[in-house]
Amino acid sequence: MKKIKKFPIGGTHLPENKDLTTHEPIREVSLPEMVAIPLKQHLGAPCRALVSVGEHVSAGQVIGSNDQGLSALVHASVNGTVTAVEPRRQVDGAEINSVIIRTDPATPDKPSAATPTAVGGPDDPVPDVETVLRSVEKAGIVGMGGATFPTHVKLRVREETPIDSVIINGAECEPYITTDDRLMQEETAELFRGLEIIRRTVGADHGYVACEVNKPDAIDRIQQEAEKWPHLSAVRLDTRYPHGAEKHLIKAVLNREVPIRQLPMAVGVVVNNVQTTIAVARAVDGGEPLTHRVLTVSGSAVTTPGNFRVPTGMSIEDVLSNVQLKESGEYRLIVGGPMTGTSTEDFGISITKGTSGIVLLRPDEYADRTAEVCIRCGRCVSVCPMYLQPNRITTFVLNNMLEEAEEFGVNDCILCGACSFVCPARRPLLQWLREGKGKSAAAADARRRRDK
Amino acid sequence: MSLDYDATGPHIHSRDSIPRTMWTIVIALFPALGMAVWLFGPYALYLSVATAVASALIELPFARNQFSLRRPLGDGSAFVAGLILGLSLAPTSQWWVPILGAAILVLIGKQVFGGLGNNVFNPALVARGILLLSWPNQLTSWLSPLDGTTSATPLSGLSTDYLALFLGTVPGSLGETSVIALLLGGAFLMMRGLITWRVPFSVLAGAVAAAVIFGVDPLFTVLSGSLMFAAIFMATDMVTSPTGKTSHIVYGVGCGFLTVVIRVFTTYPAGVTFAFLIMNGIAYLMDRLGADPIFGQVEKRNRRVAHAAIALGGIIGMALLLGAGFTLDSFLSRRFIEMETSSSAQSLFPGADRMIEEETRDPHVSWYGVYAGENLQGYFAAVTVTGYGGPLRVEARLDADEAIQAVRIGHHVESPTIGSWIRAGVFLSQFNNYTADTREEISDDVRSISGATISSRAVKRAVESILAARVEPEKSPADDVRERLPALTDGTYEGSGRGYMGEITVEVTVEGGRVAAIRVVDHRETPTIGPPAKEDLSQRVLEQQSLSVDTVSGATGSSEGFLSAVADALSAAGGE
Repeated sequence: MKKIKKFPIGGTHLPENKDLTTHEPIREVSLPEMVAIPLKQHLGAPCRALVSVGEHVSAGQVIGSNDQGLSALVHASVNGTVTAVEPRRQVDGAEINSVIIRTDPATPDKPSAATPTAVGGPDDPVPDVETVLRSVEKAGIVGMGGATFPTHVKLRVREETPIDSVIINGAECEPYITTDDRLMQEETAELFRGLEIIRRTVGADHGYVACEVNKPDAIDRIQQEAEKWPHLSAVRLDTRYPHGAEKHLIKAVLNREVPIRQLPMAVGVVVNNVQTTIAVARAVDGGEPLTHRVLTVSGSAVTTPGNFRVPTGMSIEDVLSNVQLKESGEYRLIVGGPMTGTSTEDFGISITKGTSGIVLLRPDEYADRTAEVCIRCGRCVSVCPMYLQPNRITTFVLNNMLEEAEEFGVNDCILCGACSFVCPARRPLLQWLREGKGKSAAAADARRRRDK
Repeated sequence: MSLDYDATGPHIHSRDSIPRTMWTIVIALFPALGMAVWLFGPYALYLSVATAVASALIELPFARNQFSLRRPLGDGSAFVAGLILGLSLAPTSQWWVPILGAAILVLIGKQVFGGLGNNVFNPALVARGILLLSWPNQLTSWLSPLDGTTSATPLSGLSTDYLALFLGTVPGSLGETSVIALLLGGAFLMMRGLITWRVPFSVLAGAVAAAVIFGVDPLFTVLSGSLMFAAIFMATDMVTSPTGKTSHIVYGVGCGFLTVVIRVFTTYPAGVTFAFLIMNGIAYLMDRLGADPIFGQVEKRNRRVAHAAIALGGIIGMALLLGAGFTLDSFLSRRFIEMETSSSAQSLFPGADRMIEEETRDPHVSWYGVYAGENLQGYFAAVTVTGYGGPLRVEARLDADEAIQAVRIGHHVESPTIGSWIRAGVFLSQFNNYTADTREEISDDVRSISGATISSRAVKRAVESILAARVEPEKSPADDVRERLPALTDGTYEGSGRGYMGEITVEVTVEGGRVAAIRVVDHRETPTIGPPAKEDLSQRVLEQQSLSVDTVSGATGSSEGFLSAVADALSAAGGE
């Protein structure tokens, strides 16, 4: 039995609530009438619409692109007719230009799960680097863990920072969410093929699939699969929040510490999301564009929680029509996980490539935000995985002492929210830290502009 | 960023709260509270609970907005602080001490600074400090009265029975004596994640380091007094201790080290109180200067580790060096004392060139024969006693017949005005010509300086102890009886002896030349420890018809008192 790995200091245990959906197979959703596909589902510049109103589109067709700067292609997720191209509100409050498509019930969307793309095995060849990167770019793949960084950019290795290891982030430390859990169980071969493609593309010696021990079924599957792949292995992680944070995953798996304000490539590592890796395998081996994603619909207010394969652009309301809710009707809607997700009351928001789940919490489970005075108990300090002092930093932020806040590392905060979770005075530390980061960025912006 | 303030996570919470935290600490104090009641009786329950409840009630007006019938004692923070203060009181404190202490705790310790979370100093310790300075005997009346020549250390003279210290069957403050009860509470807090090992462990480590450096018994230091209580429940006080990991360790070590320094070098019996208050004052500074390296600041952490290793190595090296110094004939310290002594002796004996240490019966008194060549010029003797303001060194020149020729005051901390009059020649010359035989007349014949009675008396005691140090102790009739029972005359006899907490009076019945019954007439011992111990001892005396029986462990003081009372009674029975 291999050792269970973990990052050394900080972190906390959360009520996982993963057993609600860990045994629920990934299901298809009923086809919605309309989808609203945002033209920016990635980090970087928004795409231009390539289709116009009234035009007929088919699933997998490119409907948005941007040749300049950091961007990723956007594809239609269903067959249908474009009824409008207009700004729609996103979960973060931004208005993004979206392509509204009325689905054509006669020719349903390409059922990706029904006819899965065959992917290669351990002995199959991997195309050369440029072919892989082109396939990934054409498929519009972005980091599906939520950061949505364009993958074709991430996989292009710079000469000064050679890569020796690739880690697949299967930690999935957010409560309720089981998408990666299910994918590791159901699409293990695709996952390892994708990892092998990425490993060859970045020129790494070894690839790891890391998974927390609270997902025993997934660990069994990846351990079995890893035996078939000579350069790949499975790593068991202790259950602790936030193991899924990139830098902490690297610390746990390889015991390398990413220097402050630097990226994983500084220590020769690329970290990828489970679903992204599977999308890479499909794109390279089958030319399949990224039009659907798997997400978990769960929470204490859902009676029939499950994992669903959802076309991008489908509204939350349409997704929720596939599950039953508790009758009382009172709940809080969270897009993403309960730790880092965003709460919203707008059910018309579209699912994008980065939406990992929809969680509905009963009000009694929802965090009470009546902040009391800080009693300096230091629990926020002891759980902070970045070894910061959230109590001090937030005091500086609240008093507009930005320089001190920066000195104590407000910009190094990874916004995991462990401090807010444990605070006995229920101080909204994460909100204040976010505010501090925002103010600090604004101040830096102002300085740059003044210097020009 | 257009995100709504309320929209961002985390949307779930650990369900922890301030009241929950505080009441958890109260539960952790239960073992200590239970021990206090078991050891010292129900009055202990009044003292500790009254302090806690009074604190909570006095705080109510300041926390009106939080008041609800669901939590009539507020958020529990005042209750916890009050309970900690209550458990640090002496078992003989008057009934009003808890209430006054609670008022000081809440008003001066907390609310003056702005209430919970804003106080710089641990409120319980602020209250304890103020009570201690204002009514010293209310907080320390458990101490056996110091006789003139014992050192100023408050803990001297207590039992060195480690098991008794561990269980708590020794005199002390209510909740502080039982190490095992405190460890139970500490383990509970650690299990609940409210404290880490860092602070308590560092406090003990700091205390042990100081004990080794200053030549005190480290195990005794850790087990005795309020150190363990303070390490687990006071040093970990959330508001007044630092929050960082490194600063936790520095803070703890500082607390422990200072405690021992204060115990060894001052006359105050409460090293913990002052040491912790001092460290409270710099807790914020520690968080600022000792901020831990951020994840990814690899160089800074390596540097930190290197510094810590160097500091630790230095401390261990110093301790080893000093420890070696003490054990290897304590060369350094002896040299120091010799230098101090010889400079005094030289001024008292002009022309002398050699001093040879003489043996004394009292380890606190040092005697030297002073020689010029081969000729004995006389003796030089010195002792340090407790004066009005602290340690007071008295030196004497004696002639070859051991009669005093001159007395002078060495280092002292008496008040610079009236206290210093003890240095006047008019006063000191009165001691001339006293010898060991006439030493008992000193207390009556030497006139004290009015206004400086306590200082004067200290000097008199010192001179007496210098003279007594060379005399073999006279054996009282009771001492003979202790060794061997004489032929006893039938009858009933009463005798008394000094126990742990006061006088013990017994009534002994002799029938047919044998000890037939022993009855305790009066005593002041702890109800839980004293009487059972006496039952056992009576049994042993009656069975063995001897007073050289084993004492009851855990109640050594009571046993000794009991036996000497019986001996006192029997000396009357055998006297005829």
